[in-house]
Amino acid sequence: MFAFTVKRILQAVIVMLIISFIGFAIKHNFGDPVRDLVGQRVTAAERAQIRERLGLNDPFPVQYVRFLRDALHGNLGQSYFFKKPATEVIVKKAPATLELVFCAALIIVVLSIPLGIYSAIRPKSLFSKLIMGGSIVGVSMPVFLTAILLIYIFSVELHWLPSYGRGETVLLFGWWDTGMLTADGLKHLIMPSIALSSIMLPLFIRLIRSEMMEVLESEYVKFAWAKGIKPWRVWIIHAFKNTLLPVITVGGVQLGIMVAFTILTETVFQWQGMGSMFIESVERSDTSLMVAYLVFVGIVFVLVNTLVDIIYGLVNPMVRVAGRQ
Amino acid sequence: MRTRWQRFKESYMLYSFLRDPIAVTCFAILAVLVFSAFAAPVIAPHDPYDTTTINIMNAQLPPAWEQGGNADFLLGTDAQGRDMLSTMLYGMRVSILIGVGAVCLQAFLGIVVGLLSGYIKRLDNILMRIADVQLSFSTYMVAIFIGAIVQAAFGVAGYDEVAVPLIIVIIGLAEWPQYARTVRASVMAERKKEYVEAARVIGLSKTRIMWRHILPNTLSPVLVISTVQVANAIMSEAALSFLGLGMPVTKPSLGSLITAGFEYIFSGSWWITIFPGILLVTLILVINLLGDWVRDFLNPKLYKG
Amino acid sequence: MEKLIDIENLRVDFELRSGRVRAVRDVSLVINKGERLGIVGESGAGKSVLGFSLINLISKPGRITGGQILFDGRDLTKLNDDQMRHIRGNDISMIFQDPMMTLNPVLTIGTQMKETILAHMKVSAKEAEAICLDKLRKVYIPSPEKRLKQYPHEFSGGMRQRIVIAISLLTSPKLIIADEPTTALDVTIQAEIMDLLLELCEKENMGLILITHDLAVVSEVTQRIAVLYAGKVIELGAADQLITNPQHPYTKGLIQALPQMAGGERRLNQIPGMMPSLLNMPKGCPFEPRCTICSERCKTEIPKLHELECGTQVACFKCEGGE
Repeated sequence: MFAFTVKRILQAVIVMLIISFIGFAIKHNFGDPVRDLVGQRVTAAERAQIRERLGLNDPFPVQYVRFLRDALHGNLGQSYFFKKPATEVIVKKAPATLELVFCAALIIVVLSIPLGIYSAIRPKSLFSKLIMGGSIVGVSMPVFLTAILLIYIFSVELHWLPSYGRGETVLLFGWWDTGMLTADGLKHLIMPSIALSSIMLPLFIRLIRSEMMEVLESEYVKFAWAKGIKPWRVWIIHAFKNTLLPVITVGGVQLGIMVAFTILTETVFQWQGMGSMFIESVERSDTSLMVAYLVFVGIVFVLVNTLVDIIYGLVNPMVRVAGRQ
Repeated sequence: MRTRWQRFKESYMLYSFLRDPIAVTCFAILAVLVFSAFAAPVIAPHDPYDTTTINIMNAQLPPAWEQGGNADFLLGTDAQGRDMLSTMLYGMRVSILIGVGAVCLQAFLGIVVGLLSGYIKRLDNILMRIADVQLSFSTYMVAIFIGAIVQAAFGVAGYDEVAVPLIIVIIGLAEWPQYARTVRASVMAERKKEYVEAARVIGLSKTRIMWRHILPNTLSPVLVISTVQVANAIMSEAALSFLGLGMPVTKPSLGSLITAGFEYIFSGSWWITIFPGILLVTLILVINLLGDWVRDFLNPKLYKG
Repeated sequence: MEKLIDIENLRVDFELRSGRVRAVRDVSLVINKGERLGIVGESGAGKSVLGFSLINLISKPGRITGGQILFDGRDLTKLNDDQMRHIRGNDISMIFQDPMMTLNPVLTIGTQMKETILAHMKVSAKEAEAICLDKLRKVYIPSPEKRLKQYPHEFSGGMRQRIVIAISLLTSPKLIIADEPTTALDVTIQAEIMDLLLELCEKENMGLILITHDLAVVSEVTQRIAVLYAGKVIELGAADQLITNPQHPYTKGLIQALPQMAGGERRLNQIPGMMPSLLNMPKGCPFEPRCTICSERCKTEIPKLHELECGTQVACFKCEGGE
């Protein structure tokens, strides 16, 4: 188990280095740090001076190492548009995205498990067929389209829910801007979370259902029936526990899709989170901010995936023992 | 000796297909959609690219059956006065082209990598590591990243000309890992089988074995994921266009049409974004359903009852 | 002798896409208390289906479509799921073929054993554990206390099957159905397991139905043997009688095909032909296409079981004359 963990962490570090390298390469070739710092109204002579001062004439590897060092200290460059350090901008926008992701994840977990299990146990019932039908439609609708439809129905036609922004937020701990403590904030959270979960939810339902159905055909489940074990115990403890493993593996990977979708969702709802910030930075050619986001997201991915792998190793007794041997 | 066509007509696959009402309906719908998309220059009532025929006075007209609608513009017009139906047909053509093009590219890349990876141990580790990492980022994210970088590098100007092939390349590069892993898994499974051993004993070269013996057997899973991948590619393109990293407004795909029309739902012109939206969902849905059918058919492991 | 389980004219059908298949055709068998019966046949003859039908665990799309199974004064075919559940693992236990697939890989042995007890008996956790340890000792597994915390993959094939047998003993059942219990094991272990089963059945006075395709195994362990062909019992008799003096041409063929009977010849004796597809059964005797002594009558009429002087029952027109 220990060897396994160490190997995973090493892999993670290598990947992070590659990401940082790509990020730096982009910044180096397409970014303009001078402009980021002082804007565009400077003379050529001043530019040359600043370039020298920033060490921009140094060879590539030297600059890369400097970039890494800065990154480790939390300095990912300066945002041209916001005139602030990129890290600061990201951190300020993070709570908005994180709350959105949290709510969407909650919806997914709370709904997909019971619906997935039910449609696996009673695959021919009307309700199951409805679930599966709904799922395939859900998977075929791009996130932004779901968002637009939701806005159209609930904001434009019914006027029930607000169509953009986060609403009223409350400042927690001096820096975390939360929308979950106000009724208005919660109202604003509803549609974006539903939109964000709209593709992942059916995916998970189908995943849980197909894994569960396969497990239900296995010999050991049949044996559990032959032993006269109560149905709910067979379904939950014998069957579901075995579906958890593949679901965790696949689920961890879905995180990547989730982050991509926050970009889309935030853009539709004008949700002031990291996703819309990224798109805006692309439109404004704010390279530093763009790269900062890429690196940040890359690190988050690597961390989460490594964590998922390690958790999987802990949960799966076969991996555990194999590691020991 | 029966010809291939005769064998196909009598095959279990066709028999099973024709018996499944959903599969047949989806195929019919898809056929209609694809045909209309590619026959667009012939059947579209207007040409949305011909600026001389577009009159700004016709902007934001509702669909023909609503008040204020015009029979000339069956599904209404957009903010520039272009006919919705025609624009949607051309847009669907672009979406399908990109979808299929991207899948061809991914399949080609993925199959090559998968074959090499499955057959040559030394390359296997590296190639699969790259594929794993790329997959963990999710193909959408990779496509968005590459799109963003390309935009940052080349700017928006000059984008129009190369948009279609460029997007095909972006999505193709983002999605090859799926194919690579599928093919590699097949290759590894086939390698262990005895007929490969037999071929080696006879003295056939590695490439020949790979090409003529192993490859045909890996095609079945490739086929299964291909249909879903086309749907995915179309969705990716729509997402990219929505974010402004895809098709430009002048040569729209369904995705960029939806984007362009979004702001108008607040002023009441819902059709500009809803109609392309419905068309997009229908297109993706029928492809997904067909893909499901293909997968269920080729994978009878699970008794569906 | 007291009847334990009385199967009368049992029919099991499978509704497939290609048609309806009858896997078990009018099978009647009686097993007495403490008696050991072997059910023998080729793959696809319907033996496993027969075994599963006794506890109503036939995989879909199979169903019991006729006959009755009398056990403990009740007809098992008429019981609902909940009533059946109280019998499964309790009065009737079943042992499956491959112990690696039978035991749940993510649960400890202890969990899988205790849950069986707790599902049927009102005892405390501690008492349940004591019973588990007791049965593990009965199957000669060393250091049982340690085993309870371990997972199935930590054991060898033979040990796993012993554990499965121990699980089947937990509730002191009246009948054990063993479906090919040694097929997935090494030849050296097979004998040990069969000896163990024999010993336990004798000691605890349990009935045993041993389903297998291995004639050699069945002759050592069981008292009576039923030969199944295409879902029908075509011969039923005392084990030693059947082996030394088989009546039905199929049984004769089976015995002759045993390697021991090849008598130093290089080729083994074979029964020509194959068992008919259950979708396309001959109108008369199912064995007729392969039979060397059949007559016109065999092509149109299905023979019923007929008791001979020696006590064996045979389903064959030619044998009714007595030989």
